Amino acid sequence: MNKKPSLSYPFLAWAARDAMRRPLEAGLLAAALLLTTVVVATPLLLTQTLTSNTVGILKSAPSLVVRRLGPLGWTPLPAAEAVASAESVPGVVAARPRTWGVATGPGGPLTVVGVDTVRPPLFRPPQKGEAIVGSGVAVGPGALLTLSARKTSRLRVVGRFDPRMDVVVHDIVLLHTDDARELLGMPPGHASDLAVEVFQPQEEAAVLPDLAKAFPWPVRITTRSEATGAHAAELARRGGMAAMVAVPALLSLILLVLVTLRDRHGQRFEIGLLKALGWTSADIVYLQITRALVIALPAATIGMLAAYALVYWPGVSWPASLFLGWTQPPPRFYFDPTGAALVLLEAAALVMVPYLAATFGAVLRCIVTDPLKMLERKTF
Amino acid sequence: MRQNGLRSLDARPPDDAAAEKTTRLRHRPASPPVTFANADRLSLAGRFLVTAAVLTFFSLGFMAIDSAIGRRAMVADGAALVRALDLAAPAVFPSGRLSRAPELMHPAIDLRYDPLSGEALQTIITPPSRPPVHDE
Repeated sequence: MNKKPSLSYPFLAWAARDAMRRPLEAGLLAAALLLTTVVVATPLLLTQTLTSNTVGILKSAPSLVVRRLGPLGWTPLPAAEAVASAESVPGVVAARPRTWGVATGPGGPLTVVGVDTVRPPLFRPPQKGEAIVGSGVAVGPGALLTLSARKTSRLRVVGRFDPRMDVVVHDIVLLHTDDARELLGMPPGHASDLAVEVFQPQEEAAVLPDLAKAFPWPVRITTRSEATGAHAAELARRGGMAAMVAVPALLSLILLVLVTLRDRHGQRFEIGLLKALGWTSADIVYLQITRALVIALPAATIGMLAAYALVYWPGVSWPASLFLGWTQPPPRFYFDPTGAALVLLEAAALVMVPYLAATFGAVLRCIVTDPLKMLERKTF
Repeated sequence: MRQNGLRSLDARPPDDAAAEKTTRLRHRPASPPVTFANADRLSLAGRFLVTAAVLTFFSLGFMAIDSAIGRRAMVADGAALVRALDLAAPAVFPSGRLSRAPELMHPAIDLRYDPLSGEALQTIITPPSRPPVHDE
């Protein structure tokens, strides 16, 4: 044992055998590490994924949204006049009126969007009396959909969006612009707000003063970065609340560390025996750390896999009902897992590092003790 | 008497018995070679170790491959739909909530009095350097 050991198969097998001497204890320890990893990793992963996916999608949102402000609050704006005013501002590439609002549908509130044309032409826009619905609207193609806002409208459903697009259009109803105006109680030729595009994202803030002056009525302008920031802040707030679930898990982690310290203290006789047989301090540290890794590494990686599957399983719907406040049928998310590795590694490190540090600290305490003293204090 | 008694137990001639014993020893199956795996009953630990390694590498491999494949196409399709419909927010939050469309917050409501607003305290303590919305 004078030769410095390497993490070869015999040494690993010896460490595994040492762990298997108390199979129930090792199994419980592995289960505790696995579940702690799942509980810690899942909220972190969900928050990061929701934020990154939402921000990725919102990069295609309008650069600026202009809303007209009246004495009673939001007021529909005259579409043609608003477009002409916006396009007179240098730096504005395009301005399009948007007709949208919230209406009551069969299963609760729905977002109604009026469209005349779809650019690029991804699908045929709905004609008058027709509706295209998201998968969260409880009316199938061919059936009549009743919507109530300022007025009540009955429309024929002619299409349904793919559930894989739930993250964008889950509870959206597309109508012809005239139908949407009538439903939302807008005068003809008016729109809810104005979507304005600028050439460069840096120009969003630069054109704000000129754009605000260009309209003959008071307006409130929201930039894309502000909208993205508001969504990210809301998701972070909810993520922080969800992370409270991990507090008991962290308490259990502290308990795990204390149990590990006590366990290693109980093995002082064995360590003393090994030292008396000629094992060096390095051998004993290698053995104990390897023993801890043999238990912790599979447990942590399986915990990471479980958290990964919980968040990224195609069509996962529990985050919406538990995390995002959906009471009606929740959207099914098909998240992109790009960037998940770092969060998973952070969560695994959060669980494993204290456990390994406790093991290392306890072994260090043992190896600096005289073997004879450890043998005298025989503890099984 | 004792010798006679012993002889009676083994009636065969001594030469025959010795030959049979030699033959039996010669045809005895060879003992397994002493290797590290079966020494000190470590074979079970070895199997446990292999199982743990397989589970670890399977988990890591699955996550790595699935992350590498990704679902960027779905995010791209969602982005194309947002662009086509001029949407300002994805359907992450339910319709009719301010979290779904923060721009719908009524201008008469001061955000400082919204207990659910994350910026409430910050707005009271330190006014933002640039207002989040622009009124004229």
